[in-house]
Amino acid sequence: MNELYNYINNPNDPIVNFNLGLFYEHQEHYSPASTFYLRAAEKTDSLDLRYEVLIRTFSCYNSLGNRNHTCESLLKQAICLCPKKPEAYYFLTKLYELKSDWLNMYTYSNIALDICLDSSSFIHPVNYPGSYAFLFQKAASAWWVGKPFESRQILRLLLDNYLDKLDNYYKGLLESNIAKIGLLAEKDSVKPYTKNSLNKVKYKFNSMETIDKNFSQVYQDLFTLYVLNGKLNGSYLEIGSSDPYKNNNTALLENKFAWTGIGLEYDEQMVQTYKKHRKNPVLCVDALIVDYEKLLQKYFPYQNTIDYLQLDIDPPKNTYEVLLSIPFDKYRFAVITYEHDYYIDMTKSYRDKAREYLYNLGYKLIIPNVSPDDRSPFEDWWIHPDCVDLSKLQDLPNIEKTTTSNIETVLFN
Amino acid sequence: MISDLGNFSKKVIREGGIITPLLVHPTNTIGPSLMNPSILNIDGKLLVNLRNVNYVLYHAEDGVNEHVWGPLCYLHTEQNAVLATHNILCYLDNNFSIIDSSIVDTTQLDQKPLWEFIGLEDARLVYWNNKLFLSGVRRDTTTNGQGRIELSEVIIENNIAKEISRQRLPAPLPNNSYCEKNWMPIVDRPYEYVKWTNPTEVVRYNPITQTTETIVSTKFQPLNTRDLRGGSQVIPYKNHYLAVLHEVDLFRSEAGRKNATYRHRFALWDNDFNLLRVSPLFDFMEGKIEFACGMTEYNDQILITFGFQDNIAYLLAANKSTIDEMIFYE
Repeated sequence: MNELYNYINNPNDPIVNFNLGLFYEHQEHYSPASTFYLRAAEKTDSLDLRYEVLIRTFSCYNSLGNRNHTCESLLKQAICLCPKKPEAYYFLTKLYELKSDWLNMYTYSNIALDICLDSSSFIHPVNYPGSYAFLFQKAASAWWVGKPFESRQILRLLLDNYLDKLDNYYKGLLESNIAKIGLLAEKDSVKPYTKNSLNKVKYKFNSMETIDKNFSQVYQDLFTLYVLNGKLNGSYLEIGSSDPYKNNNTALLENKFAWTGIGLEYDEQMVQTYKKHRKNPVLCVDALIVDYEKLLQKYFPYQNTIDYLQLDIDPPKNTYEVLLSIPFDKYRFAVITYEHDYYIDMTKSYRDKAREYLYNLGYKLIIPNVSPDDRSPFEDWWIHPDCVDLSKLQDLPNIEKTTTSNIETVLFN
Repeated sequence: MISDLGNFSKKVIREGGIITPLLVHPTNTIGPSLMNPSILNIDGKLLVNLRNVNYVLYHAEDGVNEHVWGPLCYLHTEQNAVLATHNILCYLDNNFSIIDSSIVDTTQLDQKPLWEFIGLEDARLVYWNNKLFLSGVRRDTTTNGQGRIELSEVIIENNIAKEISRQRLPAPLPNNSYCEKNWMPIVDRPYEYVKWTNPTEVVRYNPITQTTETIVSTKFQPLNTRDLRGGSQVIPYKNHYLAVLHEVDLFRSEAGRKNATYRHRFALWDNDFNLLRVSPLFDFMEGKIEFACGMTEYNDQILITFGFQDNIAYLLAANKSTIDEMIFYE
């Protein structure tokens, strides 16, 4: 063990102490490691080395767990030594995040964004991803300190300008956070259709005048009814049911047009709510492991054409996998709304894979890249040419498949 | 002979000895720190006891990077404000590597602790009358933390160590001190301890009557030392008795916070326990908190086990010539 023998000969050399600390840390002996790191910090005149070993000492206590006060104290000591270096701020915001201390997390993310320089040159680099991490930390904490607008603004900034810089961990976080909170607040999202706006609707269908309001997030229900010209007693398979009414694509079909169908939802609480408020059934299942052939045989024993298929689970990879498990060789769907979440799909691959798959099955893409604004394409809307009246589609705009379809602009005057 | 030798490990290694860490993988421990090891050679087999604690010592030795609570603090978990000790018994191979370890199972004899220092602390290994004992101090049996030496008999079966009896040794009269600790068991004299070094006081415990009596009491010798406090076991060595002792300088930082420095000496007695000499002061690795509670003879070497900064355990294997130079100087 050379590190120990070097130490015996040079016990006051800070680098020798540092190396012995590293030896112990690599073996997960964090208590001895912290001792030699601290000795290195005591023996050195170099601010940079002191800063680095204080961070490593923090890392040891952090690995030991349940010593948050000491962790915080070590990081603040490091900040006091080198207030413009980012690593200590970063770990501090992570520490506050674990404690749900959102205000401190927000505060230190802000300070770091304001004053920190690029990452330090460490002897042994620590796991600091880069300055974009502060943006994410700020966005996450802003949400909890009553600044949802700012939170979404930063997530949007990360999405638009930092995607190529993010590591996979942060890409995943960005994707899941945006999926959870959305990039638009409810008040800024598309307005629900109400009877009052009937005269602004570009594409009307039978009995539309009887609808008081719709429920879908971006008018998927109205699109389905338009394609099928207000069909009564239709059928649906709703994968990713979520809430029974809020942003729900089948509530209007069931309530006003007497459709029947089956919903699938993973969240048990959601399922309970759904069952309480909706007539049609919903199953609490993991959509990824459902045998869809059996399911469809059970709920639609006498038909092989179903009017509407909703595919909407997170993340994009899962939605695509479910798509692959639908028995398209035995069943056709007149209308499909497929959520690819292209705007937050870090791989940027699943939309195109799904498109290729559906094209090969004979489906036609009618509205690509449906978005509540000009920059958040998250769904494709499809039809099967053999199951719909094609003359209904002639009026719809012909949109390039790479164009984002701001849905309000597409459907309303 | 110089009065302060400094880094003893450096001398040992320079003169052909070795040093090795005593490590048990964290998955086989209860707390994060292994410290203050004791060692015993039982018929050629080396047995080590490691004190395994639930805390980490934070010690800004030069006062540069003090914790908000001071330069020296014991950091237990935030959910459990106790300083708990377990003991881990280990066998060593010829290269002083740990080959088997077992946390000593004390559950049959444990009582609900009444104070926040829990467990048998700084236990020394002895093998008396064919029984293996851990002899250390326990402070958790009263609400004021009164410390007394306890003698725990341990058996090792199928590599599992288990405490099978526990005796709390009274101090000889007047039995009123707050904390009796660091009694040094004499490895070849069952139930006898060097309780204090200068003046040397040797006591004997009677396990039948459960009483302790003073059997040697010598006169104070004017030496240029601080209080000489107990350390390792007392071992027979070249027709004498030998032990590692410690001196402690307890002081406060400028801001009034507790701090300490521990230094060490060898002590040599004759067979009647007259203190013949003490070695120069030394430290093991230039740490401010070091503590030796193990020493044994093995082949042609003296093995000394010590804790460093209360967070690490080491074994130092010194050639006898190195020890001799420390104690048989002119």
